[in-house]
Amino acid sequence: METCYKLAPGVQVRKEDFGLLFYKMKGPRLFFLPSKNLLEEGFFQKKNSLKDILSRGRKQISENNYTILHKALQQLTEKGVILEY
Amino acid sequence: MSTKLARKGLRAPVNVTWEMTFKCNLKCVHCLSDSGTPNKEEFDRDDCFRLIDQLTDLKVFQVNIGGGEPFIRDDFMDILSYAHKKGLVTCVSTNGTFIDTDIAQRLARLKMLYLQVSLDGVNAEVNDRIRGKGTYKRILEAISCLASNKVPFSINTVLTRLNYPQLDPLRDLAKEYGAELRVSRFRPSGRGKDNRNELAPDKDQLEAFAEWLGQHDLVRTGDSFFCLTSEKRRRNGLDMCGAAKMTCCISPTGDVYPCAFLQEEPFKVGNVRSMNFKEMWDNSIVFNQLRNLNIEICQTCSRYESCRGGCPAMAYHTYNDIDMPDPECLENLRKADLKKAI
Repeated sequence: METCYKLAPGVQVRKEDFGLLFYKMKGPRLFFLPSKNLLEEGFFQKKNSLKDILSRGRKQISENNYTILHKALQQLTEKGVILEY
Repeated sequence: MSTKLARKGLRAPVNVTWEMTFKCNLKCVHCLSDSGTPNKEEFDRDDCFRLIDQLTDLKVFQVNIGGGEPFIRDDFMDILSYAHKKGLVTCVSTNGTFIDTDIAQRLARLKMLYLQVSLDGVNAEVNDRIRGKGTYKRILEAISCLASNKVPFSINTVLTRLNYPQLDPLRDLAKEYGAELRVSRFRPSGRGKDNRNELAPDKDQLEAFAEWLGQHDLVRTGDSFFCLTSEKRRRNGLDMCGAAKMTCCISPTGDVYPCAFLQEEPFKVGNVRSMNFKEMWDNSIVFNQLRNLNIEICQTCSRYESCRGGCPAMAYHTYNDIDMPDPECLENLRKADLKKAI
């Protein structure tokens, strides 16, 4: 089963031209996800996997970019910005 | 990468400094906004709620509330609660003199609050020279009250040549009360202009402070010492001036400026009562000027990519020109020493 992500407690997210900007109250710290238009803020509010959202939005993404995005999400998970579920 | 992405300007500020009132019961000699007497045009409670609505609609994450003294307002706790209800994190700077058990207990229940209590010396002799007679005792009472009511807070000290020798005891005092020490940079704005010679740290103190900071990871500085922050510490977070890129300032009457230290007529962008905030953020000439600063003299410096010339407010208050480098940049000060020696 594909991994889904949600925001960790105390984290907010908003859309920027480069992608998504995360604000973590603890610190506070900022995290930048240069995902361009591939992901919306809502991605973290509904139970969606990366594959779901990309196929539903019919967004063209190369295997390489998919891997990069997936890795970036994993890094945000490691930093406690988002949670896997 | 984050610095580069932020440098282009974001869709909205990450945080907004909101000077909520000019009214203050103290007359600190370094006060950045020359506070004391309130302005008749200051925001009332409803104006404040409307501003919070505007900021949350734009998804601003945090407001840094200062003044003047925010707790001097009777409606301050209501405004704070409203901001939190709307999802806005707040960071409140206070002189501590209005903190009592009742307020401390109410603050202890707030989860989206950072609280900073200003203290400018580890004894009355130093602190009271800066913040006024009798304030050391009152601030210590406030700190003690917050600690005993389990309110998380930090102690905020503006580094001056008077309190520089007390950095270690200040850190120890903060630790004793379970608080963080946050050292802020002195800027010659407001009443600080008149007292610059007496207060501004000298070059040797800045050099030593830079080294001290490198040894004390837990001491916080915000982003204000980017002109002298060690490379090791730079990795802890954003280290460039955030004015007009990540942040801006709103005065008690709704005037918008790039930062709290540039609340001067040439930098006034507009007023939130009569202009749309988002429009100002996106299109202001002043903001765009700050976003595109290119300090010529610094171009060849190895640190330029990260510090971008330092604090424009320091340059403005020193040279009347934001296109000049930060006058307290240690790299430049060292180069000047070297030239003198040759």
